[in-house]
Amino acid sequence: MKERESPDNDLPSMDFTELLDGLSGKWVVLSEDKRKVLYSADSLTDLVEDMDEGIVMMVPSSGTVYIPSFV
Amino acid sequence: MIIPYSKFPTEPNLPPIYMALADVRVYSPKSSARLSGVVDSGASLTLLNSGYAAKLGIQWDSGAKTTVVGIDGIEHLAYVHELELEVINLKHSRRKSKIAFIDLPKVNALLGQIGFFEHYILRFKYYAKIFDVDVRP
Repeated sequence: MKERESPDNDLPSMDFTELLDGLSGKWVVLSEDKRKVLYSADSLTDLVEDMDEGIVMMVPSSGTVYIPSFV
Repeated sequence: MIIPYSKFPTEPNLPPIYMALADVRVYSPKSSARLSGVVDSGASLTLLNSGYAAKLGIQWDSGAKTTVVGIDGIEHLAYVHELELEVINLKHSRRKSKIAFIDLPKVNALLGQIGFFEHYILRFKYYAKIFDVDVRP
């Protein structure tokens, strides 16, 4: 899951490409170490009961480039 | 605290994308929620999906009404609440924060200027795929 990106990087990046494969656009609850997907759902409200067990993230949709910025 | 960028797949004709995601815990008087949000210096506000409000035990649209607009120019209503936020695993990082909620299905969490950047020191080293966050003196 972790990979080294640069010689001057002491920390490997968090590589989610395998762990979150097939979960594009889904909401997930990840384990504390982010090595396991505990729950996934199409909407965040479906995960309200499970949020206490980990860290919530929305998986970016594959095929799109993320440009967030709200003002 | 040094945090690695998070790597996700994207279109076949583009390299993978790396996102500066920070794990934070948001506190309301009744509850808390842990989430991984995009550290976004371009966002004026810290913005969460309204679904988190249910976990926090608050009515998302009961806060101070404001309007936000993204790159598409479309205006959306958001509601600002006075809550608390800390960076997970960063000691003494819990701060009172103004956090807005929005009812858009594709918005998770944007950690923006108000509510996040105002409280922390942030340094980005994209070339090394790391950034670091510290509490402000």
